[in-house]
Amino acid sequence: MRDSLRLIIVLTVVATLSGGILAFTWDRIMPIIESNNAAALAESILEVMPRAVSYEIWTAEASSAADADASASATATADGTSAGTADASSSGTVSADATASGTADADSTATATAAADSTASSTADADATATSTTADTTASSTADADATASSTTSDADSTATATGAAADADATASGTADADATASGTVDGTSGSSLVANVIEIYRGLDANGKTAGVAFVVDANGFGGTIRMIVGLDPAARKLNKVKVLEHSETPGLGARITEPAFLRQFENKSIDDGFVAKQDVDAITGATVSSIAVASTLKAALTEVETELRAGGAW
Amino acid sequence: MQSSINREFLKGLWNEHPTLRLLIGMCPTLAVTTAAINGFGMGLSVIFVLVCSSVLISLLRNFIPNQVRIPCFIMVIATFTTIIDMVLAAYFPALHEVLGLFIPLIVVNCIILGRAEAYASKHSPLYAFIDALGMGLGVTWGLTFIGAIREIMGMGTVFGLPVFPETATSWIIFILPPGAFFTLGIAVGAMNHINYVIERRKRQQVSRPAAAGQAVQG
Amino acid sequence: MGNLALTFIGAVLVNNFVLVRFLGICPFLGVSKQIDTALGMGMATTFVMVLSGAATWLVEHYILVPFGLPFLQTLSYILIIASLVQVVEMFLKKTSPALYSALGIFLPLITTNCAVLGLAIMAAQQNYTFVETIVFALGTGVGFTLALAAMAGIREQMEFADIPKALRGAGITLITAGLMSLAFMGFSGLIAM
Repeated sequence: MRDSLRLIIVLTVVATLSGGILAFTWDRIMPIIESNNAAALAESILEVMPRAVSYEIWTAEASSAADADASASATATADGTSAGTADASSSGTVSADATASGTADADSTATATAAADSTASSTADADATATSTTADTTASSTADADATASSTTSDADSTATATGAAADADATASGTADADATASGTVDGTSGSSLVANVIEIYRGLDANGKTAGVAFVVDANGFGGTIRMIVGLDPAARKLNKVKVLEHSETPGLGARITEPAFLRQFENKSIDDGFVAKQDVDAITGATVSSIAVASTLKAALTEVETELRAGGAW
Repeated sequence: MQSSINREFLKGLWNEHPTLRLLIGMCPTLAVTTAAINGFGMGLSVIFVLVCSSVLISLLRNFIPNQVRIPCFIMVIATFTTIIDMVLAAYFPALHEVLGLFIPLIVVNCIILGRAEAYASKHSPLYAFIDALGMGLGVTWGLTFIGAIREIMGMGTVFGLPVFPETATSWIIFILPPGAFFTLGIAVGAMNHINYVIERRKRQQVSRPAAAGQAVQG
Repeated sequence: MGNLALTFIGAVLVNNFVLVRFLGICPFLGVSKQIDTALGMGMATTFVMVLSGAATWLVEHYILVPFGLPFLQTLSYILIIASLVQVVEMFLKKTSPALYSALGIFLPLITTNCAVLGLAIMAAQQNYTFVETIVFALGTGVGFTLALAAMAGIREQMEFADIPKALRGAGITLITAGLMSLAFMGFSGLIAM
């Protein structure tokens, strides 16, 4: 009896010490990781928009809903019961700080679950954007609930991509221009097809005078080995791409992984967005990596269309 | 004293080389050696976890009851593994992304638990340190070597520097999964062959003086 | 449902843990001399994988995430797996001596099998649901068993082959594994993930 008590005490002491040391290290290290990630994202965003000196996260109602509730970011609760990943990001432009991903109001609890984790970047500055946007959301069932809950759907301000059991659900929650910022959500149940672009986030580049100097967006493509996440910079006035950069991918080394090489990506530079983006026609595919090449090209085309529609709806094109 | 320390240190580098002789800790050896620098980074991570956990386990060896030693070892190793995971994520994000899953998996690397169980829990901290360092360096050179071969054959570069002219066709198979098995299999065979040759030389050297002695007697 | 089937086939063939992802290489080289033992090891591992997949999912989603303790992931997972293997061993010993004598000797080896821990971490990274995790674990286990049994079949045939002395044992096994891996590469792209 005394023996087993001793064993338990030893185990508990070792476990507590280990946990304590780890908690301590985590506290020290986590801010560094977060700031590194934010800095890397900011750098990529500016890299693909050569003329911009700063940027802001673009939200549709930034132009209309200047009075969106600032407490919105507080409603974003990460919720663990979940099935898919949701990247819900909310953001504000200079005019509307902390525009709301979810929403402030009690009547829109459904939306709040969809927008699990929101990046409220109230300061629209390049460096100060906090980005931590992976969280969980209850799967498509909850997303459905949002759809019914929504009364007025005007603008999208938070895009949550829930990879649920059945399909990718784009839960687009949005706040309207109402004074009390009633939120609503729409759900697009999309199939997993690579032709449907998963635009994660749109950024508006600003030049020194605060004028629009380009648009950048992050988009996911379904590659050969998994998701290819790219950031794309474009010049809306000239209707041309500036630059494409691959952020993450899991393509085969030596074959599909060559989509990250300048030789492949350079052909998208200064390419008109009205081109077809068909691999092997106006885009040169990589030998032995046709699937990856097609995934990149067709996703770019679909995403460009989607982004243009969205920007035009928000009056920012 | 000095010579035994030397011996403990050197055994990990050749005679008891963990990956090429004892064939333990193979998973990271195969998975992360697509380039020399990745193998090197993995090797350094292993050295960190191996040395820290060996020394700590050696220090604690009289306090940990025998019945619960394995869970205690695992907790110590897991702690250091998580620390190196976080440190890499913060300061070397590119390397962290390449090594990915295989950093947390250091915790189940047979080398580390094996050294803790077979050596560190029975020897003083100094010897545990020397043993862990030798084994860790053995892993590091093994991983870097295999990574270098695969990188040279598969990409035509080593540590990112080109070794072949632009026109040379690289054999992509070497950086794909099958290439890992081929390279490691041939490396293990080569290591065995070198040891056979050394043994044969030794035997000849032993038998030759004996023969000379007989000739004098005759 | 279709998604689950894809997860399963993906884990068995496309991303075979042993031949494509290099997880669980130690038992793959060590316990693949005879088909019988290979099957036993494979089944024991599959069993532990499913159990530990379920257990780690519960811990991840009811303890680690709600309390914000992601840094305890590795530590808690490996402790869960180790104690689970202990419990399974004791349970089998008591209830089913026949099964115990078949699988018993492999159980302690499973704790340090990186495929089991790798599976748990991967399921957490991919944010699988509970059911998906179970299916993924089952597929991984089947894939592991498949690779192990196929290897054992080849090695039984190789017994009588004339292999250069230096390559005997591990060397030729690794090269054979390379050829098998080459064959499994044919499955890549089978499922657009």
